[in-house]
Amino acid sequence: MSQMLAIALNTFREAIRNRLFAAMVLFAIGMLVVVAAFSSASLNEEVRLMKDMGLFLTSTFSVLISIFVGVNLVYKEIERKTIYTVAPKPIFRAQFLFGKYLGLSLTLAVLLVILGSALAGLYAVATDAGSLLGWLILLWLGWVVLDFAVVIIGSRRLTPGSRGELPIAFDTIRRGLAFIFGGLLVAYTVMLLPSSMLQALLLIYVETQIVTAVALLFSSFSSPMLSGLLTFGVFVIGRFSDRLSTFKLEPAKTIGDAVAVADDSMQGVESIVHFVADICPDLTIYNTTPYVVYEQSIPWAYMGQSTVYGLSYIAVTLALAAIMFSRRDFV
Amino acid sequence: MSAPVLDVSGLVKTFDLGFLGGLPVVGPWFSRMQIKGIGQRVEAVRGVSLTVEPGEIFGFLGPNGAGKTTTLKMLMGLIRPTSGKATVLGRPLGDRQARARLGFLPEHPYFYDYLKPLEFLDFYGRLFSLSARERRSRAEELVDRVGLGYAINRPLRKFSKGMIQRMGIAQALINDPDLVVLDEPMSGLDPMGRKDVRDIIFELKARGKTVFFSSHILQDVEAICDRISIMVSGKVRAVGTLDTLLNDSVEHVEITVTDLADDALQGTALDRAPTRISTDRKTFDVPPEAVDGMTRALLDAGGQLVSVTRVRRSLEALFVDTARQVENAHSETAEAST
Repeated sequence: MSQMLAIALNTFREAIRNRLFAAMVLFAIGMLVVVAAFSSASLNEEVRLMKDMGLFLTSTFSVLISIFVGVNLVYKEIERKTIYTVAPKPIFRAQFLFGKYLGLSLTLAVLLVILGSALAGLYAVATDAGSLLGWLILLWLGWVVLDFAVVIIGSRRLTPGSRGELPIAFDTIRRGLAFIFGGLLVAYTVMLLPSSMLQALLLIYVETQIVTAVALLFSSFSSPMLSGLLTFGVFVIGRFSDRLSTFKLEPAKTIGDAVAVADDSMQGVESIVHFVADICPDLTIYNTTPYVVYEQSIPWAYMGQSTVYGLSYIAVTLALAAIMFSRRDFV
Repeated sequence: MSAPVLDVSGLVKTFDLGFLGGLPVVGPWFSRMQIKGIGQRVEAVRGVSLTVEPGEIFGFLGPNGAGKTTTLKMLMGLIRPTSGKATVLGRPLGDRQARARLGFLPEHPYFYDYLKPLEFLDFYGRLFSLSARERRSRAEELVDRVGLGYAINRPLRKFSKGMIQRMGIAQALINDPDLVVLDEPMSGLDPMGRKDVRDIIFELKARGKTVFFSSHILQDVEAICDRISIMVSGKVRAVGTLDTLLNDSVEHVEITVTDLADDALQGTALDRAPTRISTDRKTFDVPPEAVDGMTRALLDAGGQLVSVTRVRRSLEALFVDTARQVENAHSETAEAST
C-alpha cells in the first residue's frame, strides 16, 4: 500500500508541476469568469444561466483534462524510460498502475475543488447571497491562478518548491497559508452553494474517474493519440448512452422481399449500436443539470446508485488495464 | 560453493513487431508472415546461458545490437522471455523477494526531473518500503557518495548527463542491494566520473556484493572485472576470467637476444629477420608452437637469451575477433542459403 501511495503522490506532484496542466486549469477558470460575465448580462436569468453553463464547463474541462492526463500517464513513463527504474523494484505492476490512477484521482479532486470554488465565488457574487465571501473566494482563486501562472512562466522567484531556489521554510509557510486559507474558503463554499450543486460536483467527479479509468485501460496497450481518440469516443457514446441503447432505425419505405432484407440488416446495425452503448459507461446519469437549475435536491438514493455504478465500472476497467499492463514488454 | 547469484540458461527473446504483429494474442500469428510493416519477427536474444557467482564483478560485453540490454531487461522483469530459464538471487525471474535485494541502473537513464535529489531517492526508498528514517539517512549518504552533495537543492532537470548518471547509481543502491546490475554505467561520464564509478564498484565488491554490468569501455572492464562474457548476435560467445580468455589466446611469443650476428641464422631452417632491433638487442616474434625450436636455434647461433615473453591478445582484439567470427559465419550462412 505504501508503495502505491508513493507512486500516487509522485503522479500528483508531476501533474501539478506540469505546465500544460496549469495552463488548462487557468483556461477553465477563465472560461468560468467569461460565463459569469455573460450571464450577468442576461435579463433575470443570471443565476440559472450561470449554474447551467458553469456546471457544463466544469464537467467538460474536468473530463478533457482527465483524458489528456490519463492517456499520457503510463505512456510517458515508458517513453521516458522512467518505468525502467520503477518496475524492477519489489512492486506488482498492478500496484504501479493503481498508484498512477490514484495520483490522477487526487489531482482531479484538487482541480474540481478549484473549479467548484470558482463557481461558488461567482455564484455568491451573482446572487448577492454573500458577495463579500464570494470576493474572498475569488481572491483565493487569484492566488491559485498566480501559482499556476508561475509554473507556466517558470519563474524562479516565486515557487521555490518546484524550482529549488529559495529556502524550504519559506515555501512551507507559503504553502501552509495557502492550504489553510483555501481550506477555510472551501468550507464556506460548501455552506454557501445549494446542495444540488455540491451533489452535481460530486457526480462530475465520479464521471471523471470513470473516464480516467477508460483512458488508463487504452493507454496500457496503445499510443496516447489512439488512446485519446478511443477514450473520447467512449466518453461521447457514454454521454448519449440513453439514446443509443434505445436506438432504432426508421423502417425503409419499400415493399415485398426488399423490406425483409432491409429489416435484417437494420436489426444488425441496431444490435451493434446497442452492444456498443452497453459496454460503454452510461454517463448520462451524471448529468444532473436539470436538478440544479430548478433547485431540486438530488435524491441520495440516486447519488448512491450512480456512485456504486461508477465504482463498479472503474473496478472492472482497472482490472482489465492491470491484466494488459502486466503482460506488456517495456522495450 | 554457494549458489550462483545469477543463473541463466537458454534465455530467448523474440519480438513480434509491425502494425498487427504487436497486437496481443493474435500478434505472433501475423509476425510469422514476415511482411514489413504488417508483422515481423525479430530474434533479439537466441539462447543466453551464463552464471554469476556471489561477490564477483562480472562484465557483460558485446557490440551494439548484440542483445545485452534485452537480456538485462529480461533479468530485471521488464521484458518477458519467450523461452528459457533464469534465477536471480536463487529465485525465479520477477520474484519480489529477489527484487527487494536488487539494484538496477538502466542505460541512458531518465528520471522524474521535477524532483530534487533527496525527494528522488526518497521516492525510490518508499518503493522498497524503507522507514522514513532509513530513507533519509541512506539518501543523504548516497548523495554524498556519488559526489552530488553540492546540488541538493536543484531539481534533476538542471542536472548534466554525468550528474544524472550518478543519481541513477544512487537510486540503484538505495536498498543496499546484494546484486547490482548496471547497464552502461560509464556512459556519459568524464574520466573523473568513471574513476568514481569504478571506486563504487570496488567498494561494493569489498562489502561482498555482486556487480553485473554491461559496458563498451573495454579499458574499464579490463581494470575491474573478475569475469567477463562476450555476447554477439544474441548469444554468449565467450565467457570466463580475463586471464583464461586472454591467455588461451596467446597471439605470439617475443624472444629477445643479444650478441647475435646479423647473419647468424642464415642457411638454417629458422632463417628469419628480427621484428625489432635496438642497439645490441634483437627481438623475434614467433608463433607459440615454434618457441622451443627458435630459442634453441638462437642459442646455437651464439645469441644470449634476454627474455621470452608471451604476448596475449588485448581484450579489444578478443572482442573484435569474436564479433568478426560471428559476422563471417553469418554472411557465409546467408550466402549458402541464396
